[in-house]
Amino acid sequence: MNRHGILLPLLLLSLICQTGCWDRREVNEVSVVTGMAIDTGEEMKYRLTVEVINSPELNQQQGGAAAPAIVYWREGHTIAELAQKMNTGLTRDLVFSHMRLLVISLDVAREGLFDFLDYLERSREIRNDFEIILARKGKAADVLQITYPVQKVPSIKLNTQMQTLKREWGGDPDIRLKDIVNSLMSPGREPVMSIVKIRGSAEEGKSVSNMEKVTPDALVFMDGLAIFKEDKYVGSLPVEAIPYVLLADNKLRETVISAACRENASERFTVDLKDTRAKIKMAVKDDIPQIHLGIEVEGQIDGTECADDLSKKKVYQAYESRTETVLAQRLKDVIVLVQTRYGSDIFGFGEEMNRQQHDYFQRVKGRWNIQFSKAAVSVKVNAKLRRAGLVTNTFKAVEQKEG
Amino acid sequence: MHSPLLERISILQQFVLIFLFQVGSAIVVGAGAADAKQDLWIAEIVACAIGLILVVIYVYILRLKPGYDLYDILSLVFGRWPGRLLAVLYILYFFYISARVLRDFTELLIIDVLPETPLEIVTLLFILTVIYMVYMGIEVLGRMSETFVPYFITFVLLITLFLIFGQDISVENLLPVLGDGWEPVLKVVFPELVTFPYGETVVLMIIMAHTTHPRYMPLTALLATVLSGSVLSYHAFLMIAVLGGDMVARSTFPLLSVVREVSIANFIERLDALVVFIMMVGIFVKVSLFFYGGLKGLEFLTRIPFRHFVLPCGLMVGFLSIIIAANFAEHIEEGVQIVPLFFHVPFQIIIPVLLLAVLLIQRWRQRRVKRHGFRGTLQKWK
Repeated sequence: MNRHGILLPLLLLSLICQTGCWDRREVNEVSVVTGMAIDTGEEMKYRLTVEVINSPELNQQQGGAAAPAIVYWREGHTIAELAQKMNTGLTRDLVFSHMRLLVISLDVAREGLFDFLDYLERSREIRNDFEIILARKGKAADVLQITYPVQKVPSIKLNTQMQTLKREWGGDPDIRLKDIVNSLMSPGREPVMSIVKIRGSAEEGKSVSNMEKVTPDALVFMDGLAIFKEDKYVGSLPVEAIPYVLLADNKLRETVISAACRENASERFTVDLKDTRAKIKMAVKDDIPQIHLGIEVEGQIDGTECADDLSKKKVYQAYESRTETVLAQRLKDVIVLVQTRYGSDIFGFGEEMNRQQHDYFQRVKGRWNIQFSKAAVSVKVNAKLRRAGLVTNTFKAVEQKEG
Repeated sequence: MHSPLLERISILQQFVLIFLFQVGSAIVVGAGAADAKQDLWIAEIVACAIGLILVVIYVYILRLKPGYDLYDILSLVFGRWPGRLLAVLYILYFFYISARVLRDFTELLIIDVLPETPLEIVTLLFILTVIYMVYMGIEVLGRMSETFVPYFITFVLLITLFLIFGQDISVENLLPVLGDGWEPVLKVVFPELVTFPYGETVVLMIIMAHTTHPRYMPLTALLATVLSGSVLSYHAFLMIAVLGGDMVARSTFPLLSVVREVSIANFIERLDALVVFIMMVGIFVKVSLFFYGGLKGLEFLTRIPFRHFVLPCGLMVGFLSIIIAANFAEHIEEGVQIVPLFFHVPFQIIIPVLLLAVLLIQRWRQRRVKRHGFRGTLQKWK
């Protein structure tokens, strides 16, 4: 009896409590935010734009005529405050946990990232799985409004585009929130992020009719790498340099390069590098860092313009050595450019220095960027070309021999 | 009452209880990361080694007085009234730690899963469950642990697997090993990591005294401690490899941050619930054991079966866990700066070591008397 005397009220109480009334969120009462854009405001510090999905439009059968997403903006002093205030224009409770993209404008990047990153990192809804990019021209909000026929929601289109670009060509550093925060905190690394630009007219790209044309009125494309110092934007590299930046950081998965068959020749061959590895050795000589990059690449020949017989081992060796020279030269050029023009260690060499020469790095970490720009860099590439597609000897070589 | 005063748990249940008890909250809270950074896993190993010494002390005390638990031994050794005074202090200590541990969990729940739900409700639900189970007895707790430990281990392994397949692990985060020497490592080892969780095993002196196979009790306790030490060190390793030392140091619940990284093919992700489950099992065992430890003390003092105290004391523990700190920062600050030094060290180290010392001297004297007879002792005194 005694046992039941306690059990029964307990059970009843748990019935009442376990319904979870406070944190109940029904799917038909929320809107999923897929993208966020941060601009500087005209009256207040920030202008936050959110893009929410208009989910019926994404349905294969029913979707079609209406816009796939809705964009709303508002100005305010902090992003944290604005994120909760978006219902001034949107009807449903916003869910940020499925965000795919964060765009920031150049002005915001020049003023610094510290102020709003804290909120993003702290918020329980915002995860570490969205891309962060910089819109160099115009408003960051525009990027969220350019429609695209295949991936109808602009944020999802860009996210997919960046993932594919990284996989196929190594043209995107795949920067997430955690990467930015880590590089802001680490004395031996500076943040980078991809730059996007709008090709065509941003105004016309905002309508559904943009999805009806073979050549869309406007298209968002990747246009380089933004370089930061501390949390402020200092400059950029062209998109061509991104694979090399990733290579120096040992993050490159695949890329394609072309090089002249022989020195000073105008014909080129193209190789697809698939297995790339960078071994970084750090040394210090007379207080100046010595950075030795040992690069191992494996790949296949994608095509050649020269009359070389690709069934010969000797030709492979010649191409390998050309690949090595060209790759080493370009990699070195990119590093030296960053050293001299920006003096900002975007490659994370400082972190490597901390691992390998801990005492030295602890001594110089306050002025690492200066040490980095003084550093002597040497690159050694070892390229191995394994195969050359479906054809051995190029028709050009055969033609020349016969003719 | 409807059950005898003494309850016994099996040796496997004891093993599982000690393991869950030690791993429980330590695995999620990530104590010590602020100073040790990427060497936290080394600190965990050192702490486990020192923790083993503590556990040996506890177990040895129990072996010297088989069949008696902590409270009995206290009054056997220090006399009736000093022993009772110490017992009162231990009871307060156990109830307080029970409330602290409960708060650890409710905070995690509110920060990550139920932001809109009031703390009071979460606490009430949790403590009511604890009350119910402790009312049913320690055997029920033992069986519950046995039931949940396979899930616990599976989830821990799953997290590892997901991290490996998601390519979230980068081992170079662990370098440089001991870059700043041993100092920052040893600083977190004592008192922080030794007392939490190994020193807290002191509360198990109440349960370990009554196992079904007292002969294997010491071995089980040591094996369980080694296992939890390895699990904790392994998790420190994992957290650093995924997040990096700095991030672990800043994270409120590092294991939770680690699991939030998991994203395999945009399909296996948002696994926060795994961590909440892991922590829930551990905290449940921990809160219950501390609570039970305090209740047994009341039983010892009043000679009234502890079940009479379960409901009122449980509600008090729940209430205490709510008013214990006005905010999360206060809670953590107290936990890091005050509790280890002023509560853990005396109750986990000083008193047990004293106990052991007195017991050993007693035994030594008895042996002398046995060996030389009473006269032999007197001759020596001449």
